[in-house]
Amino acid sequence: MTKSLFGRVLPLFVLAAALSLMVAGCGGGSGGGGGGGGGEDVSVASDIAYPPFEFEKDGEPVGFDIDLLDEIGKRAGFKPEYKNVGFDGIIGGLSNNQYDVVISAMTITPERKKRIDFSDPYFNADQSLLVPSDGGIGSVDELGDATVGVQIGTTGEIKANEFKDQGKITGEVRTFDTIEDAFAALNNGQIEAIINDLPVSQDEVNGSGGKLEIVQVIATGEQYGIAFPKDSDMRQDVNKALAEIKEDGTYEEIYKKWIGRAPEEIPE
Amino acid sequence: MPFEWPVEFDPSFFSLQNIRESYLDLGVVFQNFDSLLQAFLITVLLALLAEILGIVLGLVLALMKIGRSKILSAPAQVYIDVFRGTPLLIQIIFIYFATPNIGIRIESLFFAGLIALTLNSAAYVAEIFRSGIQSIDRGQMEAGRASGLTYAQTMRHIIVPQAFRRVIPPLTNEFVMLIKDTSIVSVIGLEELLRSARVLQSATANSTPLVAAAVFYLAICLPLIYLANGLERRLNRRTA
Repeated sequence: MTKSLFGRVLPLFVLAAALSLMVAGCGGGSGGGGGGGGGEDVSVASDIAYPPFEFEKDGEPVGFDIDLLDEIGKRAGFKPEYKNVGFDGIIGGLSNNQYDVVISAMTITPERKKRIDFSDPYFNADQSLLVPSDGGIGSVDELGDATVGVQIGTTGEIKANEFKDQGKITGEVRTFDTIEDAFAALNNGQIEAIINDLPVSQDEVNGSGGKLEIVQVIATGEQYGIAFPKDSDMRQDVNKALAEIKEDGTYEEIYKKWIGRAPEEIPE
Repeated sequence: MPFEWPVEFDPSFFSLQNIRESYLDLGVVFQNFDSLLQAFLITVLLALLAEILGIVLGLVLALMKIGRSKILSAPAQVYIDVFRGTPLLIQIIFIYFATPNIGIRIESLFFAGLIALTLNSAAYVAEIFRSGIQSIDRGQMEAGRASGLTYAQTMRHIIVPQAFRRVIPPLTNEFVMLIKDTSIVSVIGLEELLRSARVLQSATANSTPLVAAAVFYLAICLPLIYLANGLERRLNRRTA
């Protein structure tokens, strides 16, 4: 009995394993081209599931990062070809030269800098305090014994625990597996505030029809950068174009379009 | 298209030293022992209360199901099918995140978890009681009725007390399942053993809290598993 059952099930496992190998193979990028310049196609990897930075609309990638890199390409003379790559594999692929560029709301960290190069920072990834508009909480100092939601493992969780240690939060810091769960609990009135990445929370505010608001921006010093393989000759051209974009007001335009408010300050 | 293995192995990380530092850093556990212990007590209390409430509700469901009245047995059957046929994870998420849509807001995470585990466990306990009751010789019911007792009286004084003895091993196993299932309640944010360990893991960047949580689960589940096995053997010897 057990043997015949196993005999029937085993081929299914083999099939599933083979399929997953094929899918994993498809996930890999193309063979990357050379450097930039001259209006040529450049392969860009991005984890296109992170609104408002990169997400799909009518089958096309859109978002803050996409607009920014398209603009940089226009000025530096290249045309980005976007590939949707899972975030966890994106640094490995870049360091193996599978793509020329990564733009994916990626925080610049010393660990990542060991394997890849970054452009100048293009986004201050601050934290924010998100509350219901009628909740009566105006800042972190007014949290008191409110229950504060965070996503596990995020900068928001670290910040919330800092506030708890400082005595600004005397209530519970409740961790959720995904930020969507935390948003759901906030909308249900089961928690009273959320500390999370500003742009992601702002996106939730924009879709809330006035029910939610961000009452405080909490600076953390984290910044996003555009990433390249080590010693890419594109980096200089991208930095030059990025500096122009920050200078002439284009940056502020893109920021307002996707984040829904003016930037507190432009990253340097 | 280049071929890529679905798993990457970096031999430079694979060392006894890394295993010791990442999985067996006792300092991390002892520094946070209070929060782990508190979470463990929440886990045990949650499972214990769900077991007791589940037994009460499960017995009612079992009696409804085995009775001859369709009006009672049909709803019991539907209940058991729904709760045994859907994942506990959906039940918990629904009870906590979806009930506010219709004006029911559960404030306490512990209470939300207790409701979900009780409702779920009751369906399994009902099946345990049903088979326990039906394993009692039919002649006992006939004898009870013949000596002038009603159906309910025979159930209450003769059948159910005997069935109770027979269902103790499977109910013990159900309690072990409940202990482990409390970890699923972590999804709504209750700081029971698993979530407490994951919060510590993310705060310390060390996996030892997860290992410690597993040891806590083993410490309570293993004795119960062996107890249930022993009881079952004794019962089999006596009834054989």
